Amino acid sequence: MRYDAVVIGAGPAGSMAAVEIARAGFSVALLEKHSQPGTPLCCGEAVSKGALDRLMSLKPDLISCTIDEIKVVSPGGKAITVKHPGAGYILNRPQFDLELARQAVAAGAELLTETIGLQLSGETAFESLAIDNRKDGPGTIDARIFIAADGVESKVARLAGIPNLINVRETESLLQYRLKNIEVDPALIEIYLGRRIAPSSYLWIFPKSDREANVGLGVSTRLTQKFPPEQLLNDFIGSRFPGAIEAGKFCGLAPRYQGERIFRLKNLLVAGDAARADDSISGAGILYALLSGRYAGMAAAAFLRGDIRQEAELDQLYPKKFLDEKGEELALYRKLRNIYDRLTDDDFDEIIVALIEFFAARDSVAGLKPGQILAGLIKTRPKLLKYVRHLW
Amino acid sequence: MLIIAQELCLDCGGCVPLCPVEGLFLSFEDLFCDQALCTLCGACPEFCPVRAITLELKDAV
Ligand SMILES: Cc1cc2nc3c(=O)[nH]c(=O)nc-3n(C[C@H](O)[C@H](O)[C@H](O)COP(=O)(O)OP(=O)(O)OC[C@H]3O[C@@H](n4cnc5c(N)ncnc54)[C@H](O)[C@@H]3O)c2cc1C
Ligand code: SF4
Ligand code: SF4
Repeated sequence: MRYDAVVIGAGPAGSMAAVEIARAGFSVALLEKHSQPGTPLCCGEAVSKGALDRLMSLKPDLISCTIDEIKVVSPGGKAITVKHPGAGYILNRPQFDLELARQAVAAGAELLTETIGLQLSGETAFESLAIDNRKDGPGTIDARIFIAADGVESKVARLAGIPNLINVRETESLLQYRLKNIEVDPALIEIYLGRRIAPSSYLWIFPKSDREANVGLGVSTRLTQKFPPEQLLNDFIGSRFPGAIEAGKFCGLAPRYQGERIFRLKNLLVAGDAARADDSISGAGILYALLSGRYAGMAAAAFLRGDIRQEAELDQLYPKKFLDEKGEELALYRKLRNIYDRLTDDDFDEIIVALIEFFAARDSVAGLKPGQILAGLIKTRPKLLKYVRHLW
Repeated sequence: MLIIAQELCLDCGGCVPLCPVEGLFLSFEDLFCDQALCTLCGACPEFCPVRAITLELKDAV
């Protein structure tokens, strides 16, 4: 088999990349190891509405809920609820991923499901990808350019020579249930902090309707022996949602990756979680996957058109464009992560109290930049400077 | 040796990028370990959120 380009993984990053390549008129194979993109689900499905609306228009059936309020509860039980109309969406992620892959196919991409991308080979550039298809068995696909969008596993990139191994100390172990038969506010997301709830991470309640939610938590992996995620989550659900029915169980890894992010090796581009392009504070990665996939696809199309002669020139399109937009944000989240890891439960209580004071005079968080909130907090509580001075 | 309880594994793939010797591979839906490569470093069982991986130390007394 021969295509102009091969994209490995039909998640948000891969489908976006395939759309761009196909729309530019090139043949592209989009490989997905499962029988259908988007399944099984490994996601809380929350995404910023403003950022997603800027990227694409969504059909209503891809959105489970629109979020207008965010509640944060400190370890000592102090709670702040901030109004933020249209803050986010809780997506129907399986349908969302499927729809993106359909768009790639509509643009001309060939979706090869139940096909695993294994290892790249070639002389000076990568020329061929070994694959395994569930029905037809092993084979190869030749192409002029490859995009690894194979998610957190990122085996293709690593076997090609990109050192994106994650140190277990830089990870969080995530567990989530889909709960039914519960009562939740469909416009509110809830976040719980504290060592006894989600050590070095947080617990989330993301509504799917007024009777259903994704409820999950993270635990810093170095603490999982002492605080098993399953036990912590069951304890919380038992007290908060007695009578809940478990309608799904999902888990995964949130990388707190501190290493260098490598987006290209020769004619292999890496996008989304595979490039470790996620937010080190919340673990959110949908938006970064969409954006990095889009720019990787555009760069691949430029390469195929001959706009770019040397592989190294690819960097001017990808990752440069992605990092110009998101690089500072990702770097800030890394720094905030280091601060977050040092906070004690008392610190969280203090910060929430300061936030309550800060927002007492404000009706909504809309329009406020993180820097403005930080400055406001320090003004009301100069003591908090000790937490944020490492940012600069 | 490394034991994977396939009935517990949710195929999240989270353990795969932690393996320093590329000993783990998530196929269509089953996780495999190449026992010849595995150094029993303990990273994957420590991480797995649903405790689907255990290390069995055969020579332990
Ligand atoms: C429990 C949990 C909750 C999360 N909640 C949120 C959230 O609320 N909001 C948010 O923004 N982010 C969240 N994330 C992160 C988010 O899910 C990822 O950042 C996002 O899915 C990354 O998209 P991607 O396209 O890079 O990779 P993926 O979505 O992982 O897609 C990769 C695709 O590649 C396929 N694949 C893998 N290897 C191969 C191969 N060798 N050959 C062929 N196909 C392959 C996979 O089957 C998959 O379909 C969460 C993650 C977890 C684990
Ligand atoms: S981390 Fe656990 S659930 Fe996830 S793939 Fe590995 S063994 Fe399976
Ligand atoms: S125990 Fe260590 S070496 Fe063995 S499979 Fe797990 S991560 Fe790899």
